[in-house]
Formats: sequence, C-alpha cells, structure tokens
Amino acid sequence: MQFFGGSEISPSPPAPTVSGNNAHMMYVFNRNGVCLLYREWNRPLHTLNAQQDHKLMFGLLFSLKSLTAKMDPTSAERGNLGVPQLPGQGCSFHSFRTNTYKLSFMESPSGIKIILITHPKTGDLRESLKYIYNLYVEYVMKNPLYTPGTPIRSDLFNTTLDQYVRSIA
Amino acid sequence: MAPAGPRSGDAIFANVERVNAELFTLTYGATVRQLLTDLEEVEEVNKQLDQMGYNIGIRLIDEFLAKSNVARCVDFKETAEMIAKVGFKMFLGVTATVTNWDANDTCCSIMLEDNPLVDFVELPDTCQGLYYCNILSGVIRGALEMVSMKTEVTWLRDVLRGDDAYEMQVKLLKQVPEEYPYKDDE
Amino acid sequence: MIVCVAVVGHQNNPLYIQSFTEEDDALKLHHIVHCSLDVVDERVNNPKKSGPTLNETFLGLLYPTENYKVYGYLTNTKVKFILVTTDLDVRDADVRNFFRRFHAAYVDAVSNPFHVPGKKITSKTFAERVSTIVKSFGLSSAG
Repeated sequence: MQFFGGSEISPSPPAPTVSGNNAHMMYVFNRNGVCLLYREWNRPLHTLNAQQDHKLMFGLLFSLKSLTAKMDPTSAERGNLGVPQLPGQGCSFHSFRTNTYKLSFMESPSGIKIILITHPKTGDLRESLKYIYNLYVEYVMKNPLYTPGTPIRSDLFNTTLDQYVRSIA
Repeated sequence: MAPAGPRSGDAIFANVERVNAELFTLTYGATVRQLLTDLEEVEEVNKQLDQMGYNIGIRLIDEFLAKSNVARCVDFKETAEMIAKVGFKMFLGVTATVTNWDANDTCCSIMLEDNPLVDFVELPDTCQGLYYCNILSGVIRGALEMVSMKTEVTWLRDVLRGDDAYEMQVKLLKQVPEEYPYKDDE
Repeated sequence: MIVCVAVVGHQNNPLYIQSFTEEDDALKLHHIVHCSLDVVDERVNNPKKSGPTLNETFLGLLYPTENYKVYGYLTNTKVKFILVTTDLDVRDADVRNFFRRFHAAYVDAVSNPFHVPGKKITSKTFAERVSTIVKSFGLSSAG
C-alpha cells in the first residue's frame, strides 16, 4: 500500500481472520470523550440519538476499564472503584463478546480509543486495531489542517478505513 | 503476526521517510529568522517557538506511539528514557542521554550529543537571549501532555550560547489522572 | 605564505576581506584585490583568451606582481574568491585545494540563517576556519 511519501505503515496489515462484511460500526474517541469518528456499516437498530449513543459507549468503556482494574488479582495498586486512574496504572481489557456482537477495544497511551464492533465470531482484532491507529496517524494526525480534538472529516481516511475494515471483518 | 514488542529507535529511523538534513536545517533557520523579523522581541520568539513545538508535540506523540509500538510507561523515569533513546533517534536521528535525576525522580536532564538544528548557525550579538532550539522543548512538553504528564522543559545549556553541550531540563509538574469527562447531570 | 584572502559579491561588493601580514599594508592588499576584479571580469567576458578553463570555477593565476601572485575563483553564483600569496613557487593543485576548502567554508557561513545575503560575512566561525585553511596552505602538498 502506498502512503503519502511512500512511507510504509507498520505493522503491515494482519491477515484477515474471517472474510465477508460483518463489521457493524466503529468509534474513535479522544481522551476528553469527544467522538472523533463514528462509522456505521451494518446497524439495523438505532435506539438512541447519535450523541447519547456516543456518550453511552464512552461511559461503558470507562466504567469497564475501571472495573477490570479493580478486579485485577495480580496487582496491588488497584485504587478505588470510580477513582480516576493515573495513566499507566491498572490493566486494560481488549475485547468482550456477547451472543450478538463482539466489541474490540484499543487505547493508546495518548488517550485515543478505537472501538470496533463486529460479528461475534470474529477473531482477535488487536493487531487490526493497531493498524487502524496507524491509519489514523498517517491520514489524520499528520494532516496539518486537522485540528486535534475535532471530529475527523477526511474522505481519504474514511475510504481507506472502509476498505480495510471490509478486508478484516 | 508482527511481534508486539517495542521497536528500537534505530529500527524505526531506518524505515521512515527522510529529508535532506540541510533542507531541514535551513528550513528551521528560515523559520526562526522570519519569527525574529515578525515579532522583533527575542522573548516573543522564544515563546512562539515553544508554542510551535507544543503544537508539533501533541501530534507527534501519536506517530511515536504507533510506530514505536511501546506500551504505557510505568513511571516518569521510564518515560524520559523512552524519549531520549527512542524518540530522539526516531525523529532526529540523534541519541540523547538522561542524567541528573533529582531525589524524587521528577526532574532530569536530557543531554543531546548532536543537534541537527544548529548546523551552520551562529547567533548574532543582537539575539543573545534567543533559545534557538526552543522548539524541541516545546515538542517534549506537548507530547508528554498528551500522555497525561504536565511538564516544564527548559534549556540549561546551549552550545550556541557558549556552553559545552545541549542540556534540557524536564521537570514533571503533575500527572493528570484520567477523569470521566462528562458532567453527571447529562 | 598567503597574505590576503577576499570574498567579493556578484556586484563587486566586498563580503569578506582578511589580510594575514604583520605589517600595516592592508590598504595595499585591498588595492591588489580590487584590481584583480577587473582581471576576473575580463576573463569571464572574453572567453576566447581563457580558452579551455572556461567552464571551471577555478580561474588560475590572475596576474603576478613583483611581490605577489594573485589567484581567483568564481562560483556559479558570481561570487569571487581572491587569494594573494607571496610564494613564488606555488603549485596549482595546492591552490585548487585551498579554494575547494574555502568554498566549503563559505557555503557553511552563508547557510547561517542569521547571515543576510549580500552583506558582509561577520561570522567568527568562518574567520577561524579561514585562518586554519590559510595556515595549512601548502602543507598538505600530497594533494
């Protein structure tokens, strides 16, 4: 794949796990809970308006992270439930699965959260999320006209993302 | 699947796009000169360079994290080492060393052995107060802020000002905990 | 021994001139440099005379006087370097070598973002480098 200067994105895209179009939607949040990007491919049911939906998703992740850290049997410094964690503290989950969907989650140390919701039978998507993070860096962060912290409006990014997601899920 | 371990600064540096070092140096030089012409005050130029660096830093951190594959750093000490060993290598192709830790591990010096920004440069007498490389300190401040560390970065020594090395002091002011960003009433 | 080196801009404006003699003959040397500019112009404008060396930056011996030999070098940006020496037995290779290093020093000096093109070169680093080059002139006679 050719990027701007021919610079190569690492890691190279992992091999698709299951072929076919079964990704439902994707969210990208920054640390302040701003939804930078919401993509939807296959979502038959909308119960909330978009803003509430984003907020709910962010809240879910935030609480879940706090809970998983609290339940961690290996680490002593777990803090109290609901008490803000310092970066680097606590553990982090990477996916959960229900009978109808699978949610994969990645958070960069800079607070960028990428959430991909797919068919429950999808395999491990951690490398794929990392690759999406790389796409985000190349197409969004490196664009000098993009103001950090604002919603992403890049057709180039969207197209590439669609292509990639179609190839993995 | 690609190995998930952190990559070394050298390995990344070997793989990224590069520009001619002189083009880079001259571009930066022209920028500083233009700032001096526009702002007139040396102090203002220092501030502006720092701000420009900050703006670069808050973007650069994501590229750094994506390319270097590093996970979270446990403490400030590890962070500083990471900047010096991987960050500087990756973006400037130079190696830096971390020294002079204070007792609480919240303040250290980053020493640059080589500084590609200052090739050819000689400060004229009228700009003696200029921190020519202030952009670097801004970058570090911006990047660390994005990983929840409020820092203060100052130049202690600068060859352009007659010292024998480049030394930046990085002082950790506080680590910002991750808080729930929304108000409860919504 | 080199007694004087000079950098002259494309409008024959002096950018840098430095003499390396104990005596107070700077004025005389400057005069020699000034005269040599005419020779440079003549060489450039009458390519027939200078013949095969036309495409070279190194202009060779411009003219000898009783005590001095004057060499010239013209960059593609029409900046002239002039060298005045008292040595009577100078090898071409040494002079070429000198100008090559001098040119490199000049390029680095004008790359300083604080240097204003067309203005005098005030850099101390440049002055130091030049005096080093001048001192080593003719020593590395291997080249």
